[in-house]
Amino acid sequence: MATRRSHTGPGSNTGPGPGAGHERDPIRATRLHARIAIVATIVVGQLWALTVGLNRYFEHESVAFLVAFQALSFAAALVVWLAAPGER
Amino acid sequence: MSGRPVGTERPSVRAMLDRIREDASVTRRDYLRILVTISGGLLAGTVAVAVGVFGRRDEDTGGEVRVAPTIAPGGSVRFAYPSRDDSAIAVRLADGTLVAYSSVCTHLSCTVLWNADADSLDCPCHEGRFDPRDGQVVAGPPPRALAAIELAERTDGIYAVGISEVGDGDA
Repeated sequence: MATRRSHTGPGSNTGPGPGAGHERDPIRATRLHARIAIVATIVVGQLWALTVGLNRYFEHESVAFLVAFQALSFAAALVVWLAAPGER
Repeated sequence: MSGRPVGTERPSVRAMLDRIREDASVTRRDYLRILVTISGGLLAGTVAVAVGVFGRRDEDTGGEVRVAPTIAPGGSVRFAYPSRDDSAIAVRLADGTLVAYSSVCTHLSCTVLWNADADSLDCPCHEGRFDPRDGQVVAGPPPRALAAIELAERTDGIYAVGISEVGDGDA
């Protein structure tokens, strides 16, 4: 009787091992996710400020403080982005 | 696709595939970069608004526009104000009062016509009717009064000199 040779013996396992697919550095990943969340929140605030600025502009009112708000928001986003050079 | 087995691609193709795989592995970092770029774009957009890159329509007043040399009582003259694309109508009422309004109906933007017999400004599309003395709606579906135009009667003719502020005729 012919013996069937298996290609899946103990010495030929090549699939992903335990822990595969998980974060290699969860703390670093969490920091990155937190940065993304913070900058996304800043961008949402800037979108709101732009709509308010357009309304004020078309009503002939000053938008200077909204420009300042946008500049501060952008600076904050830059700081959050540049704060961790190793993660860029 | 080239049809070659995986791992036997030409070196240039393999290098390109490696780069694509490498790019795919930094997607979350790219999110941050893209968000910061969007943030900068929003700042630039707000600065553009502040410095007046986008024109306001009400700035296109055209200054003063000569409407007509004169208008007889009960008569009307059509003209364009504040821009050449904005049709307007000036009416001399029977008592001599001179009035002018945008002739764009506030319902669906049909052109309002002077009806001397009924002493009203009528919209022929949906039978809207406006009072010529103050532009208020007296009948039909228009939701708001007509926009009033300020006139100045001088020795050499009748001039449109401005638009009444929004809300003046809404009382």
